[in-house]
Amino acid sequence: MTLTYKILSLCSLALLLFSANSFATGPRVAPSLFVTDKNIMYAQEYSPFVGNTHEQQGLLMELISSVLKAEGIAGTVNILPTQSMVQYYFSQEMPLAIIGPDFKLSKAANRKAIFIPVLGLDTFFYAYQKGETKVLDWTGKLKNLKGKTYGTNKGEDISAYKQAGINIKYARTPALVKQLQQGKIDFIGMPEATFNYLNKQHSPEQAALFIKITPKAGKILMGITFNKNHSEGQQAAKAFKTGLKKLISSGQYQSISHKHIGGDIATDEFIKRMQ
Amino acid sequence: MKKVYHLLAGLSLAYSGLALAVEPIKPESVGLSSMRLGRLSQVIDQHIEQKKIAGAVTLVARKGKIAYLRPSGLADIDKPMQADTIFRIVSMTKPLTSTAIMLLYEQGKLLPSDPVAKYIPEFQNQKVLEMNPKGSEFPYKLVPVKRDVTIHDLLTHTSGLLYLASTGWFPNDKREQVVSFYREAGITDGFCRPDETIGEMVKRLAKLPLYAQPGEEWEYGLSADVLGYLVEVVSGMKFDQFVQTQIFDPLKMQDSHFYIPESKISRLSADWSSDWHGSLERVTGPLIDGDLALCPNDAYATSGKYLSGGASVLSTAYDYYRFAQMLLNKGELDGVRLLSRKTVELMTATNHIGEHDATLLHSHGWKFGLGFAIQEDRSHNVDSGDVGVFEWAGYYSTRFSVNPKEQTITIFLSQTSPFGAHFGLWDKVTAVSTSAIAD
Repeated sequence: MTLTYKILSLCSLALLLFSANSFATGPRVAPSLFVTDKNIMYAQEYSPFVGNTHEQQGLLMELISSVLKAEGIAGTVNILPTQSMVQYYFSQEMPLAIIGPDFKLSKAANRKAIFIPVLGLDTFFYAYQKGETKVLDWTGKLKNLKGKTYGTNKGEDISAYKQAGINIKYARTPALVKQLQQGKIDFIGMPEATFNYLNKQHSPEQAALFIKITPKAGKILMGITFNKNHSEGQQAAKAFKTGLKKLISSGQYQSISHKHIGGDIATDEFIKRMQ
Repeated sequence: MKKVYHLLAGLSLAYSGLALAVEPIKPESVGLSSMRLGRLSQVIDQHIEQKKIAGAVTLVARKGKIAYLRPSGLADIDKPMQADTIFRIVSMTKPLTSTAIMLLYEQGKLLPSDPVAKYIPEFQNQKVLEMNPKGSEFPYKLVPVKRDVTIHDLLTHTSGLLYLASTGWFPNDKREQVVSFYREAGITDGFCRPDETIGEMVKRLAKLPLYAQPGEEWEYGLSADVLGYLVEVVSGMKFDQFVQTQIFDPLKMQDSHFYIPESKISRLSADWSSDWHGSLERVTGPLIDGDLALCPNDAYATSGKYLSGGASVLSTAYDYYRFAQMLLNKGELDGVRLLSRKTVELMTATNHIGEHDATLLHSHGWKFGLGFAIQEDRSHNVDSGDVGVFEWAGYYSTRFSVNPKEQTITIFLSQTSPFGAHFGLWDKVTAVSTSAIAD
């Protein structure tokens, strides 16, 4: 057997083994094979703060991305639709960080958490106007709302509501707005930006009938929680804090906030505290 | 006198509409026994008299001709059932959705073996939920998929996607845990019509854990809803628009809709709740039973965002017959070729799900093709038909069955829930119609 013949035979065998047909029926190369989980971060979808597309990444994501980019903290952000899944990944796996509201983590998970608040917003109760009657007797004391039904997401600490004799109904936020309109619940609570966003998306024609109740109901903190146990977690948290200060002092933070939620929903007090 | 006759004839035509337009032929001319088909009427009338169901439209066709088309009972309170009454066919939407996918396949726009993530990126890097041993610190873990979910997995219900309602059918801890994620993410089974697009729902669903590794279990669930969105992504058209122009129009299915036109609301059957023991009531609100949420009155909506590939279509017995006859004719009806013979052969092949059985509607001996169950062997507890019979059903008690060997189609449309008690009735309808074969 000549060398040329041997080479030709090997080439023929290779062609046979790797022909288009064999690829057509064999195992496929999946994108998942090339993705590293090393610096993965998980975020909870929470419009308009954490969107689920690159085009509509949301206020919180844009602030965090700007800092991560400026400080050279590399990582992939995976946006998830439930808080439980984000909590699972933080407690059971080794992500670099999680992004979203101040997650209610277990004691064990809390020990490895470095929470850095990025956004602090006032929350308000909302009710649906039915006739002329006063929709909600809210003066800042939950006990005045005894017997009413409060709609919320799973994960919110509702112990104070329960203590005040308020009934609780759980649903996803868009469904809560619908239930409020249908009279299935009496009030919901959220930042004004969230409420405006949902109204615009789901029931713009009904917007005037939803009543924002003052005084404010509370405050929500959103941010990034770094994982101390991740090899780069502590260093990344330190760099992130520095980067966030720079973002605020340069005015970039304010201009991003303004772009997303306008000047009327003040984050000023929070910025002052951050500074 | 002549004028009065014409007026009466016109009124009669307008009232009964389709009943006159579609005149069944003499059963004997297609090898069916009239006397034996009469038994079908007896079985259904008996169920109506016993107040198990309010009414039904039943259709039997053979060799391309309708030999039996009978409305019976009530469509609504004080409204008799008509041959052209419109029904919520719910899961009988799925074969239509599969056909939409196969149309795109024939156009070279996708392959069943393609990973879904190729078209819907949210399906990348999916995880599967596995329960940890009892007593573990954390109850479950999420493990990477061994391979991506493919379009074939969606067509055959081997994707690992669930229905929330399955917690009631096959309860176990793992299913409960996966469904708790569905609940939290606002996923619904599509039996109600939420105020969002199917794409919004599917993108969230893709991020949640699967119940089983792709291809490893047969699990009836939201796969067809994902296929509906896939049609939108690949075709660039809204799903209802695609089905209308590519399936309903060519097959002249004039009374099939995702949202009912205002002018046809009066033809929509009411839904009835039956305890199967004589208590029969017209349903007026949503029916919620654990994770099962049914909103029969959503069918009266004339427009909306949600287009479920698994549940949204409203149709008539005659329209669905035209669709089934196209499949029986291996892709062609009245000179219009919708699918190629080879595509229908692929859809109706019995070996798509390997060792698994499609055991929701039937028992062992039934496999699942690309959109419906297929009878595979006779060594199990099979009541009627032949190997190769394909069929599926809908939650509000609707069922179709196609027997390629005997060239028969049986369609039974009712609107009664819950559906659990109806399996026996459906099986009797197909058994009696099969027994009418007399050649």
